[in-house]
Amino acid sequence: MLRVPRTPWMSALLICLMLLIFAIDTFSPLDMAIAVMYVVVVLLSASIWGRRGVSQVTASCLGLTLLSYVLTHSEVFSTAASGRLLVGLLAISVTSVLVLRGQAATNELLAREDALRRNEAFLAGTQRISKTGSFSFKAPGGEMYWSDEAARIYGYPLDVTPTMERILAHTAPEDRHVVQGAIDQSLRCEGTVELRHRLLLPDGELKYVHVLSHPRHNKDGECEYLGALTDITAAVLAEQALHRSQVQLAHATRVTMLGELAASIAHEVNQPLAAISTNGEACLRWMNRPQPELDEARATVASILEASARATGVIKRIRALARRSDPQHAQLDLTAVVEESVDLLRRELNNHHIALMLDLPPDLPPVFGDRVQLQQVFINLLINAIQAMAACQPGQAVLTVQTQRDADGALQVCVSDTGPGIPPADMPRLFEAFYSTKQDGMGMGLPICRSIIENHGGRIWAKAATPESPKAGASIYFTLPVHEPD
Amino acid sequence: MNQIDYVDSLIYIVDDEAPLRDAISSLLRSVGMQVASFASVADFLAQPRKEVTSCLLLDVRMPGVSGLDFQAELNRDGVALPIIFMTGHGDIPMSVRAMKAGAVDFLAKPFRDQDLLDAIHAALGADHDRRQRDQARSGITARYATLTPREREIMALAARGLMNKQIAGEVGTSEITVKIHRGNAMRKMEAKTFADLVRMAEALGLA
Repeated sequence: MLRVPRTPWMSALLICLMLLIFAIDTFSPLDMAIAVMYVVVVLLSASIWGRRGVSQVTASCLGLTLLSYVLTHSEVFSTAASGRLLVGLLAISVTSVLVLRGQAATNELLAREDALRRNEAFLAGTQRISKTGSFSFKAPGGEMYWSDEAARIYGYPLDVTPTMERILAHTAPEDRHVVQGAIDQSLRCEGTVELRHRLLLPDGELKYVHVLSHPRHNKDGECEYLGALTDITAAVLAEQALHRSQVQLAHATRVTMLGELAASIAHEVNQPLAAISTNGEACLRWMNRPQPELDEARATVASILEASARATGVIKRIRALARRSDPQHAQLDLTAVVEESVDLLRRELNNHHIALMLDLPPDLPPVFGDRVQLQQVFINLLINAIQAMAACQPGQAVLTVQTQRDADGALQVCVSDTGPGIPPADMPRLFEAFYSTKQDGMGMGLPICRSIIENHGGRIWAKAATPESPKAGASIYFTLPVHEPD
Repeated sequence: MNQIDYVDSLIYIVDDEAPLRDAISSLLRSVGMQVASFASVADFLAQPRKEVTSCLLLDVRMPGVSGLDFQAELNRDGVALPIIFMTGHGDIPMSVRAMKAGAVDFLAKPFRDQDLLDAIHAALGADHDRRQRDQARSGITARYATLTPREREIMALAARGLMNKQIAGEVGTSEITVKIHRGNAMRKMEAKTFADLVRMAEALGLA
């Protein structure tokens, strides 16, 4: 507890001083209260020894004073000498009391400082480990303080004076307006400020930070923001990596899906090509007649244009599905997405003699999403349904796609078949990766559907046949939030 | 067979894909053929067929009944309409099955117009011949109906190659009577030679 340097030299010196005072007091002829000089010894002792030492020194001083008195005045009683003795004893005692009290106070202060320093070290350590800095900001004036970790996150040396200009200077140019907006809001002292932005440091390092600060009024009535600044770069990069692998996985399964649909797709392209070439031949023959039939020729050319537009559309759709690109969210008409998906599957439906029922109300609001990914979901669910109905009796296979608004106003889509349905045992694991009820299934279809739907802010679930309608087959439902145009 | 009058013949097209159906229809009309096109087998069956030289252009894969099943159905019903199959992705087993079941041709889309026209030409020729054969056979049948039972019996035995004497023994009559019945049969059947009579007996399934 005590921080007094107990050097042996100092102790020896103090003892010498004490003995010197005793010698002068006892053997010098001076009639003065020499013993008062012990006060110096007591005072000095406080800086060398602790409480106990000081007490011992005090006792020694008192003892030596008395001894000196006894030695010099034992035979002759002197009132003056007795008075000097009393003054001396009193001075030593009072000094000792004051010194002890002072020492106690100092020790307490030291202990408190110690605790404070440790707290500070804790704080700095946790700030460092959690990559969270703190800062404060006074509203009208804009004076700032930031912690060491905040300085490090912002990319400044620790001794630099924090300013908003410095923060802006290290903010990524694309995010400067956002940060400027937050600063303006703080200057007006308008509530909690929360934002996520990028920092671009002079050495080219890119950081993602999350800033959260609350205003409060100090005792002078000034508005002061107290905030935390977290370096979330690692989390953001991990999130981005996850997103990238999800996109890649979605793409990979999409390409696999296209492979499975190759025959259907070939047909969808072949059909218009056949129409084009036959129309072309017909056109030539109409023109080459002795009396060219221009109206007929014109009609064939119109058909050629129509068929080529159709082929182009199919190819465009397939290329979009095969392309690997980041999802591009836009306002979408879900009905069109369903129809485009069905277009690619028409042949599969025909080959399996499946009747398709589309229940798509015309007044559905648009959704916000990625056309290709949502098509992937539909194609996936439709293929599942088609495969589930492979064993259906002729005329029994019906595939229904239904859209409607649910109670929360979201769009709800239901894809249902009249196949054997989902066994209850498979229900809980239906959306698990690598879990498949099909002999040659990869187990990636429904998990991908789920990740796509959830990335769109929706939900996907399955419904098995119920006891009331055991022959109802399987139904997969999903929701998508409605995009209300501003 | 090369002198088929397109104006008097009719080509049926059954294909669920309107663009191609219309294109084929236009192509056939451009060379002067008569065309009736249908989106489905059901539509085709609902329409009464004209008794003219005709053939059927049929897509193999269609919703509802498949082309091959329909072919089998027509065969069962004794509808002897020459069928030309069209397919977007013809595989060999399928074409073999179709040809065995009596298809005239099997065309993979997209096809050359000349291939289609040749196939139609061949199909119409086959149908024309069949109709003539049918007509001839129905003449024979009508004439055969005028024969007395004894004359029929003797005609059958003669066609089998039996001598008059043997026939007489077989039916228990004189050789002279057999000769008279045989002469009557030849005359009624309008057979110029005995070989003609044998051919007719074969056509009637007697020999």
